[in-house]
Amino acid sequence: MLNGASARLKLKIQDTTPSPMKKKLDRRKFLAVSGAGSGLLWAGCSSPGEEGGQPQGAQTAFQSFSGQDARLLDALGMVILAPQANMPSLQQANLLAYLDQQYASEQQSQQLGQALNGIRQEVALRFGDRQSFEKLDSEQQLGILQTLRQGQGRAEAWQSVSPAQFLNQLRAQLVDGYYGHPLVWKAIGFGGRAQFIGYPDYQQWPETPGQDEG
Amino acid sequence: MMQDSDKLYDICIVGCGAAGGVLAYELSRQGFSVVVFEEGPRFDPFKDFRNDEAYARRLLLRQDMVLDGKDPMRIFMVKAVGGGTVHYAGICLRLHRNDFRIKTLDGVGEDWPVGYDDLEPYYDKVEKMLGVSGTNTNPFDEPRGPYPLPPHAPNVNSQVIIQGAQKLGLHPVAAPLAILSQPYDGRFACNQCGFCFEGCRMTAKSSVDLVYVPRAEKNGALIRPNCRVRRLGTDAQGKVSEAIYFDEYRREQRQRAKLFIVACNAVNTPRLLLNSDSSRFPDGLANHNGVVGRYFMHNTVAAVFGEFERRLDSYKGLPQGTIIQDFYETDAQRGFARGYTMESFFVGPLSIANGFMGHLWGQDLSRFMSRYPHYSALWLGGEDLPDEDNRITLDADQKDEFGMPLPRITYGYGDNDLKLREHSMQMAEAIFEAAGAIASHRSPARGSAHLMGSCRMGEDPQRSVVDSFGRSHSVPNLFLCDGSVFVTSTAANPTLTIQALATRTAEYIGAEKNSLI
Repeated sequence: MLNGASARLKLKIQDTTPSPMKKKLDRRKFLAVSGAGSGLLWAGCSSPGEEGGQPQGAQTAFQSFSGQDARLLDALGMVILAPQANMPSLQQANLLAYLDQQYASEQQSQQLGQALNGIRQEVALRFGDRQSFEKLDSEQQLGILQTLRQGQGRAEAWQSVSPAQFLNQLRAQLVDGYYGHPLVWKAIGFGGRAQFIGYPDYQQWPETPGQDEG
Repeated sequence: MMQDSDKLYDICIVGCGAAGGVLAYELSRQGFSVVVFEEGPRFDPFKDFRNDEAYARRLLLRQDMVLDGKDPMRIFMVKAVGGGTVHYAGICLRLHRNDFRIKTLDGVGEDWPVGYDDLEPYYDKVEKMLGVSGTNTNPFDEPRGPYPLPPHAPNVNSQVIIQGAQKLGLHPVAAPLAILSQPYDGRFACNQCGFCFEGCRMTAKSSVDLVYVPRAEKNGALIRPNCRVRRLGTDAQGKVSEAIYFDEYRREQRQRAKLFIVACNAVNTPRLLLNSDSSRFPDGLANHNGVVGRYFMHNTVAAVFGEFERRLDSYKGLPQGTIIQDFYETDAQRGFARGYTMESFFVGPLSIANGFMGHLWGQDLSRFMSRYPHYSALWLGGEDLPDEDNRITLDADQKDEFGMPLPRITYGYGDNDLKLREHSMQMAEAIFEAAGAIASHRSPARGSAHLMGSCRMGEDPQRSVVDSFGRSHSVPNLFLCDGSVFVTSTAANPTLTIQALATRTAEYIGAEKNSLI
C-alpha cells in the first residue's frame, strides 16, 4: 500500500523532463532528494511467467535506480538471459532486487544511470525520440546490444562509459542474480550448496534419465 | 618499546601463498627468525567460506590488472594467507623427467637448471605434508611409491570420462589431490560437496594456510596479513635492506631483514621488482638483463563440455577427479611440440554461465544452461611455450588503491600453442563421443590461475633472473620463489612443483646460512 509521500515520489521519478534542479544534482543526490534513497517505484515488468512471482503491476522500491531504469533493466535482462519457457521468470528470481544491491554504491549507481541513458540515446538515434528499448522487437533489441558490445555506440553517454564493458558487467550481474537463485537451480537441475553433508551419492548415476527437470 | 618493524629479522618473505607459507615453515623450523607479509586477509574456513560461487568470487578473486596482447587472458589469483591454494582444485601433479629438458629433446623453449631427480625428494616431502590422495598406477608418471592417502572414488563425471577414454585405449587415472580422502593430520575427510574452488569449509583441502602456516607460527614465524609491500629498498652494497609496506592500517612502514624472499606469484613478483627501481637498479631490482617480467606463461587453457541424453549430475563430488596424460609428451606426428593433461572438471552454474560459457548470450545461454545436469566436462591444460614478448610490465597510467602501478599482462598464443590447444579439444570431443555424448560444446576458456615464468631460473645470468635455488643473479640476498621462476610451463598444474622448489630453496638457505645470513 502506498502512502502519500511514496505516491508523490513516483510522480517525481516518472517525470523525466530535464529540469535545472536535476541538472545540478548528481544521480545519487537526486535519488536521495526525490526519495530519501528508498522510494523508487517500479510497476510491473515485461517478463513472462508471472505465477509465483511479483503479480503484474506490483510496485517495488529500489535504492539504486528509478522505476524507468528498472523497466529498461528488465528488458535488457530478458534479451541477455532469455529464460527458456520452463525456467523461472526474472521476477520469480527477484532479479531486479538483486541488481539493486549490486549497484548500491554511489559510483556504481551513477555509472549504471549513465549507461542506461546511453542505451536510451542509442535507441533514439536509431529509431526516433519516441521509441524505447522496451518496445523494440527482439531482433532490434539484439541488434542494439550487438552494436554496443562491439564498441560502436553513437550516443554521447558512451564518452564516459564503455558500452561493451558495461554490457559485459551487466551480463555478469544478471547471470549471478538469475543462475544463483534456488528456483533457477531447481529448474535447471542443480542440487545446490550441500555445504554440511556434501553429496554422499556422488558416485551414483541419477536413476531416471531426464528426471526432475523442474 | 621496540616496535616489530624495528626488529632485524633473518628472513623477510613477501607473499604467503603456495611458496611463501612453505618457506615460512621450512625456514622457521631451522631456527631462522621469519616475518611474512601477505597482502590479503587470513580466512577462517569455518566462518568465512561458503558454498556460494558469487560470494567466493568476490571474497577470493580480487586483483586489478590491465590485460593486453593478441590473446588477453583473465588471470585469477587469490590475495589471502594461503594464496592460490585456498582457491585451487588441489591437483598435485609432479613434472615429468622430460619437462626439464625440452630444448635438448624437442628443440623448443629452454632447459631447466634442475632435473626430476633434484626435485623428487621434495615432491615426496610436500606430498606427505599435504596428505595427497592418489594412485601410483599412472603409466606416464615416473616410478614412485604409494601416495600418503588412497585415491578418491570417481564421481559420475569422472566415470563418464573414464568410460570414453578407455574405449579409445587411453589411460585415465585418479588425479593426485591435496584433498583428504581420509581424516589426516587432525583435519576432516572430504564430504564431496564439490565446492573446492570456493574455499574448503571442511578443511579437507590441504591449503597452505591450514597445513604450513600454523606450523610456521608454532616455530615462531610472524605472519602479517593485510600488509602490502610496495617496494624493496637497497643499501650501498646493492643488497636489499628493507621492505617498504603498508600495514593493516594503511600506514607506510619499513621492515629490515638480512635476507628477502619474494613469493608473490608470476604477476606480482615481477611487478614488485619492477616497482623497486633505484639509481643502482634503474630497470628494477634483479633486472640487470631485462628478463624480469618476460616469458610469462599460464598453460594453453581450453575446456570442452560433452552433452548427454541422460542426466549425470556432474556437480556432485570433487570438481576434478580424473586425469589423462596420454598426450603429455611430444609426438612428432601430431604436428606440434609438447603436449597436455586432460582433467575431468565440473563447477556450479555461475562459473559455467559467467566463466566457461561467458561468450553465450540470450537464447544460446539459456538453452545451454537448461541442460546443466546433462554435461560432463574436461579441462585441458597444455604447455604454452615461453615467448619473451609475453610479459608483465607496469602500466604507465593506472594505479591501484596504494598508488602502485597496475600490472599490465601482455599475452598471445604462438602457433605451436594453438595447434596443441586444438588437438586437445578434438581429443576431448572424441572421448565424449566414445562415451555416448549427443553433442560437444567448446569453451573459449579465457582465464587461468596457473601463473608461471616472468622471472625464470637458469645457469646463464644473462638469460635468466635467478639460479636453480631462486637466488638472484644480481642481488645477493634476494631470492624469488613461486611460479615466476619456472623455465617452461609444462602440462602439469604447477602448485606441487612450486612447493617442492620452495622446500628445496629453504633447505639451501639453511645449508648456506653462514654466507647468506
